[in-house]
Amino acid sequence: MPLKSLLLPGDLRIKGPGKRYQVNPPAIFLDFDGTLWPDFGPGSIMMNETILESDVRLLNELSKKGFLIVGITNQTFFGYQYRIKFAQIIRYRKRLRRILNEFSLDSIFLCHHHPNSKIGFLRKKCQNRKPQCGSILLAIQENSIDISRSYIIGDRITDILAGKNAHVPNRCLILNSRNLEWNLGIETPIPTLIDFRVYLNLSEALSSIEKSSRS
Amino acid sequence: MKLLILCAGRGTRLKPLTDHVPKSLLELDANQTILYRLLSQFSNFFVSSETWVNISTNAQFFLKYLSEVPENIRPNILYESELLGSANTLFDFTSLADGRTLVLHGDLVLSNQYVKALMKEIDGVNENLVICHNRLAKDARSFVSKDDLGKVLKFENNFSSFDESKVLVNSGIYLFQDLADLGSRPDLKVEISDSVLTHLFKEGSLYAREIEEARISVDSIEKLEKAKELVSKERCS
Repeated sequence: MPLKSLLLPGDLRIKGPGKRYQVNPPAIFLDFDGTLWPDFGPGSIMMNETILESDVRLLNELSKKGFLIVGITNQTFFGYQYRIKFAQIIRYRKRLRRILNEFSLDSIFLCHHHPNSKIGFLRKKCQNRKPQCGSILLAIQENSIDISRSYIIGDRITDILAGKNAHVPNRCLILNSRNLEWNLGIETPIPTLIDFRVYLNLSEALSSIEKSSRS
Repeated sequence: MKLLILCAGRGTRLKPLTDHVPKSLLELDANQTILYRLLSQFSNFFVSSETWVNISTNAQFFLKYLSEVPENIRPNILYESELLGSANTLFDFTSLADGRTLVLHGDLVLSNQYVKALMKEIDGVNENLVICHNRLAKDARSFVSKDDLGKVLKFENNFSSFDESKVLVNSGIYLFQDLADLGSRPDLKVEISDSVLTHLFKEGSLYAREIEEARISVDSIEKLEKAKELVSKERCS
């Protein structure tokens, strides 16, 4: 096994501080690029993004209300280059820790695989890469999540489809800075219906969840 | 009860108006599109979480538009990446929702009186309904006849006649009691009237109700103008 694959495994899970939750908590599965911050293309996660304080505050409130906040993201940018530097991986892992704390996340599930990755050990059709739902199912199983009260929020149909595949009933598509064809983009046409609600931005989606949780 | 508004069509009969705007998003006046009018009219009877809009062609326009619609009338979206045909949409919808469902075509402009009459007509009804109106036979594309109890005795979809008399025609509004009882799944691109209604009619479980209040199905530029007039008249009164 390449040494770098130990530091940057194809699928990575980072756990948060381990807050106390009710038994069978509901969860909010959150996409990263285009959802927590603008999507500037591969590597957006490493950029100095503008974080909206309202998003952070709402995530914090929802976390306090008992929602498990779980990041679910495809991060394939390593696969766009032929070589990965150790320093780059270290910087990346530090960045993930910061994200975990900043957004009150309980855990982050990352899939670094891509079928066309230029890095050998990351080249794979992975069950954790959205629209597949491996990561979501793992999170549900590990935390005994009550799926019927859970949400998935993302900026692409692939996020929504991953939620549907994992039977997450509440699916929120948020529009972002990229064009709408990007929001709808999917590798293969879907031979059925997908249902979701659409929101202008993350704040609006989180406020709506917060309101629903009150009723 | 759930409300499903079908807006996935291509709107080919309204080209070039529908080249860049889906038919249901054509404006009736400065304040409302066809879809917005339907959503607000039915918001008195259905909560937004029980309302669904089916989209496919030009879905990006719907996403943008619906994200800006006030949240209290913003519907759930049912997206199909390739056109399934309304019958298949309905079949797939059964996996998401059960129980009574009111289905409307998204190109309908209904007077406020029509909506009131419709909701009164379907209140407490335990049958599958096709809502109908009278039309000159020579202009009709469908034909429905019913007995005194409303049970459909004859149902034709590809109707043509030179007759000047009036006949009952399908208004593009349906009430289904149980979406699990729609018959077998049809081929792709098949419409509700060609599949589901025909099945229910053959089973003897399709009933018709008549509503004669003002209603326009916007399938031509001329009809769009008439719909605008209807809205303007309602606003003035």
